[in-house]
Amino acid sequence: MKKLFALVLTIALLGSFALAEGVTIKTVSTFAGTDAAADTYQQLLDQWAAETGNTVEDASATSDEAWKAGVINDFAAGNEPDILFYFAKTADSARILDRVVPIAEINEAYPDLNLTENAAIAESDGKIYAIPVRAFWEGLFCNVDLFEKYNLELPTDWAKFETAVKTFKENGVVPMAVSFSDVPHYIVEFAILSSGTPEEHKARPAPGETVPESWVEGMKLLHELYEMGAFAADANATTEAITSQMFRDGQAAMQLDGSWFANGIPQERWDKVVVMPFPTHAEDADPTAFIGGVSMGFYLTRSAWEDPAKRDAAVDLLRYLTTGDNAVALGGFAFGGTIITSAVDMINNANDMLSPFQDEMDQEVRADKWFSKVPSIVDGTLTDIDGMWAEVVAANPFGK
Amino acid sequence: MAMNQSVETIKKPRATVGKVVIYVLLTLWAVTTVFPFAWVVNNSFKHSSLVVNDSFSLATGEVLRYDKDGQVVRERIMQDEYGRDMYDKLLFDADGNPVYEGAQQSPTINRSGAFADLLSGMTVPTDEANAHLQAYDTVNGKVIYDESSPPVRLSPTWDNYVSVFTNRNVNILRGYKNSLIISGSVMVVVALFSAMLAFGITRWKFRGAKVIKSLVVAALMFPAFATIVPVYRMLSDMGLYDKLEGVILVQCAGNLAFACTVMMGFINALPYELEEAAFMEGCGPYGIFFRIILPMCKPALATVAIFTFIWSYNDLFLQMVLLRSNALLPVCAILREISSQYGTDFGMMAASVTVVVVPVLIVYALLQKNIIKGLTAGAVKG
Amino acid sequence: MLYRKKRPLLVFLLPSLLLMAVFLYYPFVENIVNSLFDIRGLAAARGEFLGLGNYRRFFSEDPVAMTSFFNSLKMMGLTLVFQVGLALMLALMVDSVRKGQQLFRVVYFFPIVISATAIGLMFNLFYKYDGGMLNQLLAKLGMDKVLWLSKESAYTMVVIPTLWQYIGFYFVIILTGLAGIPQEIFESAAIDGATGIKKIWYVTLPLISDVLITCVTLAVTGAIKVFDLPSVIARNGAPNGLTHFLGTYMHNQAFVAQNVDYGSTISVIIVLMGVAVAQLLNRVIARNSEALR
Repeated sequence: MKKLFALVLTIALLGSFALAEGVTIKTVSTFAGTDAAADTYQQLLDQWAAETGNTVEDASATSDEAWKAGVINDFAAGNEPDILFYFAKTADSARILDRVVPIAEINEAYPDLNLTENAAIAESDGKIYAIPVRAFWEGLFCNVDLFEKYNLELPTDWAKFETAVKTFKENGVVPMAVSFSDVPHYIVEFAILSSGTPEEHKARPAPGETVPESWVEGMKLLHELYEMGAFAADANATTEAITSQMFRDGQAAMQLDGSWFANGIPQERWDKVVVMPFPTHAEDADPTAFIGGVSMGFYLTRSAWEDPAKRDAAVDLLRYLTTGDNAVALGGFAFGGTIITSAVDMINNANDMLSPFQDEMDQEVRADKWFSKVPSIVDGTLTDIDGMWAEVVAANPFGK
Repeated sequence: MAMNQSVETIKKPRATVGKVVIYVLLTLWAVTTVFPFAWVVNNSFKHSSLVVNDSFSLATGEVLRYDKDGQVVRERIMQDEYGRDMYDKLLFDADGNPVYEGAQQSPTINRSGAFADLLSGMTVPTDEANAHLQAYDTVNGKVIYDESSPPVRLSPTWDNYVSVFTNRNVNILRGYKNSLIISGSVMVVVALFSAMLAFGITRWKFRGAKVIKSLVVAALMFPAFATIVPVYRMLSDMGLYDKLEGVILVQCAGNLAFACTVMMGFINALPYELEEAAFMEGCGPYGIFFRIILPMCKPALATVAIFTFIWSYNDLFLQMVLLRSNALLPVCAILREISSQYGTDFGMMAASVTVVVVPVLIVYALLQKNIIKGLTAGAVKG
Repeated sequence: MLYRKKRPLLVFLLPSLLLMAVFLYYPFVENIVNSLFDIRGLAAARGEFLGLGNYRRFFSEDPVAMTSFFNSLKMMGLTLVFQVGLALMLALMVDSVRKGQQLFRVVYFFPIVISATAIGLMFNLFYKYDGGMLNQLLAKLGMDKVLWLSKESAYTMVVIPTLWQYIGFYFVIILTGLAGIPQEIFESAAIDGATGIKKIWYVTLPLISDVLITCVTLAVTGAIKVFDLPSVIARNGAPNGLTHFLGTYMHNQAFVAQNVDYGSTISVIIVLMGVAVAQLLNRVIARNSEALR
């Protein structure tokens, strides 16, 4: 009996010793599915676990509204992970701020780490909670082979753009691939940027104020483009999946979109596509300005921070994922060729990088009072642009 | 049987013309329902861009030849709208497994210093970083093509299925297992419980029956999003979040309204005689339910089981919100992961749909056999 | 005398009612409460109390809501006529043939099992203006291209696949009802000389009236929450919000606009409206089938 007791005790001790060797860190991210860095991410987690003797339980998934809400729910129910890769500076992230640790606080406790504090994603309280590893840019994607086929110059200014649109239209090529009912996001932002100064684009009008002139002109520009024949006849009806495929297959000449869109361009077209700033329509607009920034980052949750057993390990994993080559690897995009070189030119030559102001808007106001009206603006059934903006601003889209 | 034949002989002259018309109409409808299925299966053998540009053509027409190394090369030259060749090519090794050209070459995830500089404090990529990446790709076997290697496309192609079944982060078989556990349990529980409720409501006269019926009809329309947040919190409190049991419970509740509606309609139409006879012989309500009602309900139970299974199986929304661990994800959730992002990979989507649909069709084919005539007749006679 | 004891009744009712009460009714009551508060985001806390503001907005200040309301009403009618009607005809026809019955039963079911994403994509490729299948066909016939999803035609074009996809569903349910009819009744009816249409009208239909009521209930409730196929074919009620249904608009509000309180409001309206219409129709049918019997 005594012997048995001793044996059990030994096993229990050994067991607890084995447990004490490593902790389990729970992670949640969007590095999943066909994300360019999904494999890299898994590999990094495995390597870190092997190096430290800890275990990682990862539950990454492709992001959509259900996933976003699921993460918020996790926090509300106390099921949050230890390390989270999530949106920053959005209505969603605002809801978890009291449950994640500001980067400054981590740096203070671990001065050697010197984790990046990226001011671009400072939340409304001025604090930075996330470490981004990936930036995005948006621009005008052009199928160069189509421009060559019709002896057209790339649309570096409005006159060239107009010539290109008309020539493509005459030859049965869709000039610009876009679906206004599905994804008007990029084109509306660029139409405004093209219709005035970057300063006007940076405006965040409060109730009682009027929107800058360029916001009105930009919306009118959409109808002008429509009249010019820049869009497919069913641009108001079809879906983004269809129009994007038209661009990727070289059936449409141009598309306004972001860096993630380049990931889907087949490799044999990497050298047939370039990215450039959208040509300026207004005299005072900046022909080099583009839209870009960071939108997601790694968070350390408060629960991991306050768990003495987990704290060091969680901080170490955060460091591991967000510094040095590992961060670069996670930030990778799966494309190359002239897409990347032209994008780099666009970025290097830019006088100004603007963040998309629609992301800072209240989603309800944006969807109901602006985006839902875009198709009618495009086809000319809604002409009271000032009235529309007045309604948007009255709902205080930037103040909520 | 003799009776049936005599009936048919009586109306034979009219029946033949009528039968032909009926068959023509039924076949016409069948064409509309088979078409999308054939379309999906056909497109699952095509590359994504062909699905959109050439989705209604058959996935055939490849050319086979050997290259100088003795490897099989399949080629199919297609022309797009502008008369350009769309060059499809895939190499196979001696065993017929696809070998990707460029797999041995260095990967080119291209990044640039300027771009990375967008992020303050982010490291500019170095050669070392590239070597780092290369290492991953050797380990993963994931292919990121060198720009100089030819494009890999084939029509028809097994690529979509290969991607579905060999994806590193995904275990389809485990997904099937999870799906069968979830949807199978939901199916059984819902079929049994709904038959019980329908039996109770239609056979007993009691106050509140009408209210319960209205509640059931109302529950048919409760949208999942409207109930998800309280349900989520409840499951967390019960410790059933991220557990198969949690999803099963919620899906049972969600499918019961439909099942009860169908069962009530069916049981209400069943004749009472048998039950009365059984009662005379001393059978209680439980005996009647299990020995008389359930056997007579076979067609309705099959119908309820079929639809409950399908809806549970395809219910991505609940699965996504209530399950988090990769090991617990059902097959639909897994396939959604690998076929959606950067827009949709249409070829992969078609393959995923095919892979998802097969078990459902098997379940349907097995269960629908129970929807046959004569059960009640036989029972009454006996 | 047979079904008088109350305890077995409880045993039969409780399991279902308990499950539904916990996971459906209680959360839905919360949903009703949510419709009275301002809630931004699916998992967000309740904000300012709005009272009936959302309901006012739905009925008097929101033109898209009205569009979706009437589109859904129209859809109910179309569903009854085309889904239940066609399904009934198909079921009677399939029931009347012997050879190939199994085959028809299986293939008629295909559209239901294929995901809305795939079927939606297929119809998008039918309707596509440049290079879509319908326009390619027209071009072969030497005709001009047609904008299939124009403002005038979009509703019809969205409704056609939506109706078509779920005919197989009602088909199976009606088959179930037909399976419940004792064979002797047909045999004695045949001896009495009832054949063809007469037999169907005077014998079959009254006998499956309960199942038809079930179908009507399911059709009305199904029509009112129509969601996945329209939302794939016509994003956000494309074009110009004209093809929104109550189901798609509710989903749009809850997920795209993150306007959970208004989404909840619409779902309350959906349930109230669905129950009212279903009860009304049930009464009409019950009365008629009594008369037939």
